[in-house]
Amino acid sequence: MTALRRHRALDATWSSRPGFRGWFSTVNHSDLGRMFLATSFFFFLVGGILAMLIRAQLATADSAFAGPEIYSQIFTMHGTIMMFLFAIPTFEGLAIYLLPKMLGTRDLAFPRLTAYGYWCYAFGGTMLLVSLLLGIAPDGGWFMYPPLTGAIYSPGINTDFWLIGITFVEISAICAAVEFTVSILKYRAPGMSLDKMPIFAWYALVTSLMILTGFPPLILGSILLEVERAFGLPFFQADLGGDSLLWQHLFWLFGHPEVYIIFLPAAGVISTILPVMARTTLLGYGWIVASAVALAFLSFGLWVHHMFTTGIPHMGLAFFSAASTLVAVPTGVQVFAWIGTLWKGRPELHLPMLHLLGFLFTFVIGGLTGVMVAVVPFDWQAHDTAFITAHLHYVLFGGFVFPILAGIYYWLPLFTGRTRFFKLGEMAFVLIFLGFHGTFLAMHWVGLMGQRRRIDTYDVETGWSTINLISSVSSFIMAIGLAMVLVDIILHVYVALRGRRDPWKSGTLEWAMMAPPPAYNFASLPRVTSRAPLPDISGLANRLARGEGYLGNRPAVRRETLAVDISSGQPDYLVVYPGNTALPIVFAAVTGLFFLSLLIKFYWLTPLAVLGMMVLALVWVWRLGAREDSGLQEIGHGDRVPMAGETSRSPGWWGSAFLLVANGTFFGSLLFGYAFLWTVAPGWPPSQWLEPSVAETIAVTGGALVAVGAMRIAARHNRRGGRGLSSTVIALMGTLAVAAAIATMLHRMPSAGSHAYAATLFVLGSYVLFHAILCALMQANLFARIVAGYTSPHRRAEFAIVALWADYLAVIAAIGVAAAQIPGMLA
Amino acid sequence: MPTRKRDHCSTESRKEDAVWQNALLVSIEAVAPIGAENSKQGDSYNRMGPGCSAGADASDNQKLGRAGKCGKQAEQETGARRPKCGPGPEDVTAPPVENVRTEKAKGQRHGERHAHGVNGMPQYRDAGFRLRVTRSCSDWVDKLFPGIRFAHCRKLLILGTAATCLTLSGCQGEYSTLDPAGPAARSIATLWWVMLIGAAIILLLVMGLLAAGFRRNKKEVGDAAHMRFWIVGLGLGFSMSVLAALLAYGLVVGERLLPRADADVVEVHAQAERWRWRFSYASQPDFETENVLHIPAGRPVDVHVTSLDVVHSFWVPRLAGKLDAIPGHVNRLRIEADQPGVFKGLTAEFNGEGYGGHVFDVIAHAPDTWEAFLREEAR
Repeated sequence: MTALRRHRALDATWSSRPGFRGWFSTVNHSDLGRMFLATSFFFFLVGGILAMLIRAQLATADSAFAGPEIYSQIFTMHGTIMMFLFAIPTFEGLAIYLLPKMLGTRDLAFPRLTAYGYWCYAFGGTMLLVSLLLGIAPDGGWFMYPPLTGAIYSPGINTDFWLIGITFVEISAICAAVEFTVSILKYRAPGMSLDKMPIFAWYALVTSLMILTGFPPLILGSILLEVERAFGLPFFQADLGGDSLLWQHLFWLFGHPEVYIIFLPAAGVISTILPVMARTTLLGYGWIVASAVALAFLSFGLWVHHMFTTGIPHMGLAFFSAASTLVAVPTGVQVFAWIGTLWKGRPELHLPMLHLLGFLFTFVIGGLTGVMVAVVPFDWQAHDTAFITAHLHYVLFGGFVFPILAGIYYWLPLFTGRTRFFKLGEMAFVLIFLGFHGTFLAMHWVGLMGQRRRIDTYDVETGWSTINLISSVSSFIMAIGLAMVLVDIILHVYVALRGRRDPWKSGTLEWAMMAPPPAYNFASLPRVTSRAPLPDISGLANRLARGEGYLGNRPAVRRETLAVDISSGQPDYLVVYPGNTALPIVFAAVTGLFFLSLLIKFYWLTPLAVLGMMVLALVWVWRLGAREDSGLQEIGHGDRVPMAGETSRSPGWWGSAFLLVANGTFFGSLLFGYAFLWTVAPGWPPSQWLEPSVAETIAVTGGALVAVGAMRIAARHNRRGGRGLSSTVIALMGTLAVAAAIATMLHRMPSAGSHAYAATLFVLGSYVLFHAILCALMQANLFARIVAGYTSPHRRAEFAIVALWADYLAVIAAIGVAAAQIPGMLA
Repeated sequence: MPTRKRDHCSTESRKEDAVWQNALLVSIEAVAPIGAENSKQGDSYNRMGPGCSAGADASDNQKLGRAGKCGKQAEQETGARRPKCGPGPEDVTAPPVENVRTEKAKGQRHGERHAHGVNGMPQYRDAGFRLRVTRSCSDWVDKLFPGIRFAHCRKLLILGTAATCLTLSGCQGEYSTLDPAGPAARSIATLWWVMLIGAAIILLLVMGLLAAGFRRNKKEVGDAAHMRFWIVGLGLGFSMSVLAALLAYGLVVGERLLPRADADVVEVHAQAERWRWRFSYASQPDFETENVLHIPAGRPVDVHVTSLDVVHSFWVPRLAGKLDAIPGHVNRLRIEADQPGVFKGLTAEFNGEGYGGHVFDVIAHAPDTWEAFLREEAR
């Protein structure tokens, strides 16, 4: 078969439907990556326009441009859009597009999930956009501190848009994070062991793990605040045993890792591009990976530095101050490693390099001011002033936008297969760089002069007018620069000349394909022996196109790729992907209906939406798997591997495992909240504890243990040739016992609106109940799958997945019931 | 520090006058509005009640009166209230060389103030502001680099600091954290200047290294040597030692600012509500003031901060850092004003529509006025 024929056959199998209708049914990572990036840059535009409105408002003293009601919507939405609808989705889009190409594989682990995540993002973003257009956008500042955002002081729907819309959008972040983690660990070119991974993949892996552990606290906080607003459960009301500080803890427990979630992918882009621009290899690959991991760990230990002024004891602050300064060490290691890389090589000043230099200058300043505000006494002065606004823009614009612009210009030839023709980009860089520093350098000063963030006007007597005018004028220069980048990219996409492959002479695998990339990426998968396969294997791209790699000789009738062993990168099993389907967009729409029903308080619609999601989820999983054993598959080079469904650690198991990491963090945050309220909130202990019940405790723990044991036995039966039907039924019974006991407990506990204790207990119980029902559904589904013939001694993957969820249920049920019953026993 | 050097320095700074003139003109514009605000403030100071005006420091009254006449009391007021950042008004009327000497003799300062007070009003604005900047900068340089003996180094440092101050329209202002009027704000302002200079040096160093990376004729060194230098040496060694030093410094400053038990401490309570502040006084439990907090000057004051509705933050930038007012919690902040005066207070946590205008005044009384205030309010 010639390369062209192979291309046509693969393309027919892999490509999405033609025309715009293809967007709604595509599950291809290149399509979805582009859609993510286009949408996120649209939101960047919206957020940018809001920023210009803010600067217009503050340009002169006593401005009457916007009143305080509108102005607070503008700055709240600016922060919200930039954080949640631009920065995170841009990382997702870039990683969705690039990761499979860099890792030498054909798609991400769960293509339908990619699409579902995109549509959740698009719908949730639209929700927030609508609120902005209608003038009922969130207005409590992007970190939404209650009680200001509680029902008493913000009675309108504005805050609900934030809480519900952002939670909806975060689904996409969690989906993407699960997917990246599994993809990076399991979906790589054969031979690509962990130490041969492109550095960007390492950063994406660390970032994904951080999303899995960083986002759940915010999701929990949003749920609690929304429940308080809608149903009056007093989590944040001091007079009923709640505490507004709980929100601050949960928010910043997310918020600080968020900063590194935004920075690390950008650092990945830098570590990828910089060595190419300097015609050398990255200095200290191992050190850089280690510092990324160290950053991830440390970033979870310093959320309190956003709360230095809340009256936490000084020794506590000292700990977080130390952690906050310590976090500068791994950042310093990376910065010096990058400069060392330049020393090692012969740097060339291409456009991406200009943006990288812009990054280094800006980010070093941002890091230095970051260290300043990590020093507690200084933060007491700087906190909540324009100094902080300036600092965070140095870190986020410097640490994210410059690298992303570098990345865009670096990968544009790959995206479009063209060379840049107009030299607008250089001009744009100068404007952005000067405009940025003019805006925010001045803002530091006005902050120290006492200008608070978020004020709508100021008197001329304050002496801030000149500085603010400088800021505003510069910000418009920066905006013009960014608009020029947009024009440059549009011109590039439509009118530039065709370019040659790999214009930068890079070493990573994304350049070993035609540009723009075909839907299937690689006609055959390479065998990787080093970190830079391109220069090592001569003519690699052509050889892969000729089918000389793995999977080159398989018929192109299904979408197939290889999964590898996590550490060594040896082929593990063969994966068959689902094809184009509208299921993700429909599922996302029904999910949106669920959130919408909560938002506009059409509660009769909520159960219908939940039912819809249940049905769609069953359709989703039912379509996978096979009714016959396939046996070992030839993958080329004399290797034979089983199908994914015929192993006990299928992609679904890995996906579940990492989803449970996020889920466990959510549960852990809930327990943290419980303990926090107990020890710190005023108005504890509550007047009435839950009456302890031995029967419930036994039913919950016993039922959960039965389910765990029975699932193990079912899996063993299946392996030995039986079907495991009866054990599955016993497991289902155990799970239902847990559900029933928890439901009884919820029924008889003190009224949830009476005190934060009861409210927390209610959420804790509901969480366990939800998982018991979910587990029961999975077990019922497994039963149906066994009956329908989807399992066999070989096709055993589904038992492992259900067993994993049953184990998780047992853990949370035991902890949950203890947390609920023990206080009553002690009292 | 030997006087000779100082003289030398001030002569130097005089030579630089011409160079600075243009920059100054711009900066003066920015200072002028502050003057206007000050005259308002002066009025409210006079208005604020029988206790206060009766007991007001005679010299202050004298000053205010004169200032009212010529409409330019701002500078004096500023001078009187700002012993650290700017010189008194007397300095600005005298020739520059003398000024610096006058400042040396701190003891004489208060005595001389009124002797020079209001003469030569028309010309002193320019000169005064410049000298204030020069002087405060030279003050800072002395404080930060006590060991510097070389005039040129000093001059450079002064120029650098002054240039920063000037281009960014100075550090003065009623809300300015860099124009401290109390011990807490002062030690934090010092902390800032130390960190700013440190950060500038580090930035220059890193950018220098970055620029040097573009040299054409670089020596070929092995990867291992690069790693030792960049990652172990600079990445780990350099950042850790700088950060450890800074952290220790920050902790010491923080410890010093904590509200410690002291017989002299005055206790007041601040209760925030959208959009006003209510202050009560431990020694006068039945009495409250709204949006005006009275404190004695020169004595530590513990403000017990809480909120009735949403999260607010109590902040008097010229006196101390801020502390949040959180419903259900009472936080304690130590503030202190060096001299009697009026200080602007702000609410520093977004709290809804009225946030921008949610401000208050802190009036620091001289000992006798404070007694009078308490007596007055006790009635």
